[in-house]
Amino acid sequence: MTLTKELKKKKQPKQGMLENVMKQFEAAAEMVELNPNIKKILAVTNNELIIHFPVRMDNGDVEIFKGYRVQHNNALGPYKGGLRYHPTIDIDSVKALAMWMTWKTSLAGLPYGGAKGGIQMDPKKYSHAELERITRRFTYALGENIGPEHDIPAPDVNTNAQTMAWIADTYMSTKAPSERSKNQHVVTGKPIGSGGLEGRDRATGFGVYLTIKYWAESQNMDLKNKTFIVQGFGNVGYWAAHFLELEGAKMVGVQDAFGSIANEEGISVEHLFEFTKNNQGAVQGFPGSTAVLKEDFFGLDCDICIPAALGNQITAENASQIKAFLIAEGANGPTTVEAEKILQERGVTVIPDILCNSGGVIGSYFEWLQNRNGELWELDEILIKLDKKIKEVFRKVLLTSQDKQIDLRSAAYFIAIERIEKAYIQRGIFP
Amino acid sequence: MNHTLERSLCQDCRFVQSCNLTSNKTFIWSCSEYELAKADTKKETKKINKTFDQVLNEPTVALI
Repeated sequence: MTLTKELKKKKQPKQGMLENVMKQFEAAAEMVELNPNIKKILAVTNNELIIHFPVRMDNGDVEIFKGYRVQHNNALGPYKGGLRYHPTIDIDSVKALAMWMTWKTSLAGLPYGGAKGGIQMDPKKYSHAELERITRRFTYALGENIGPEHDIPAPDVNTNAQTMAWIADTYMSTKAPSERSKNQHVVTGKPIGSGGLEGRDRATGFGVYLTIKYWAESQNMDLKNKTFIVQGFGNVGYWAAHFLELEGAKMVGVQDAFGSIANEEGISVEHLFEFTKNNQGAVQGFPGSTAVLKEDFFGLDCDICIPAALGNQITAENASQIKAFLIAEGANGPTTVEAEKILQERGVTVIPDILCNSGGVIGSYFEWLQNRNGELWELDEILIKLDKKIKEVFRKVLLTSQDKQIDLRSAAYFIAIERIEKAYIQRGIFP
Repeated sequence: MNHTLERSLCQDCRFVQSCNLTSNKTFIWSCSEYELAKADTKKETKKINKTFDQVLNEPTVALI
């Protein structure tokens, strides 16, 4: 095979995350009747950084890593978005995720733009010390392309509070001693002892619960004795279920990576959580529950369905089996476009991901504010502020949806894009 | 299955074989259940920084 042929063969069409995000943007832009000039701006990213940087391994060898940071838009404020360490990330997926962040922060009414980044690598191949050096070297290589008032990374896949602490420490170390503490908010998602936010773990799940609560209120519905099922019993699923249970709702089904369980009499969220701790994190075998087949899970009899695990779960194949009247998207992109059409025809309401799981990014904003103002907020105070913010955003989405006779997802995109458009119109285009 | 996993988080998730959440493992980019699989073998590390004693005990090369 000739070299040209070989190169052509390698250039396979990429799988469509970017394509999907662009399609959603096109549809929303059309709906908002977005100014064509602003559409041109939003259809592309502001900055795309690809950095190759060397790191010395434990055995003395030097390895070169490829890091990315894509800054999609900053019309509303500093860029904001996660950093992930994964072998499959590439520029296109990072671009798509950065764009998604722009809509999310805009909808939440935060003074942020959208960004995403990461390092193309398999973290399990590296020791703790190597991961620390990789993170610190990447931070150094990013230099002034990140900053507390410019671009604020956060944890994502395979990165955590420890990773953020290393980034903050490295970034702060590059500053003059008197400037260091002013730069702590260069990242969010830090450990509590290092400027992190109390209750950041439950922020997303609490937000999911709040959107359900406010939707129920808008329908004059009491959540007491309403039944719900949760896919994913991690940070999002568990906390959403926890708060719903406090409200008097009854969990009747749970699915995690190991299996699915159901009990129409109700599954105690706290008992199940305790059980999973001694059962290698799995819900399977919880006393009093019965096992359910993977394909039957979404068909369980319930009022509310919370997909809080992964994307593409509610599809054209299972959408007609869903008995719930409300779907709260705790995960990112759990409902396919085809499935949503079926659900709409059947009168099922979907609280869209960019609204439903925005508690996480709002929590990040609170951490940033806390650091920026040199304050320490208490948990109760944080939950009250989160509640206020989500209530406000939910109200806006609901009113737009009623006013324009569109579904909640379209309304959410409408608000997100319109807010950015307004900022551009007010400011104009330089020069 | 390997080729379909190429660009998915499932690729290095420890639940990939038995995952009950999805049979579509082709392009999952976000998952709350995702957990990084542990490396099969402990990473081999070889020490290259010689200690002071090792350097001292090394045979010296005679200069001609």
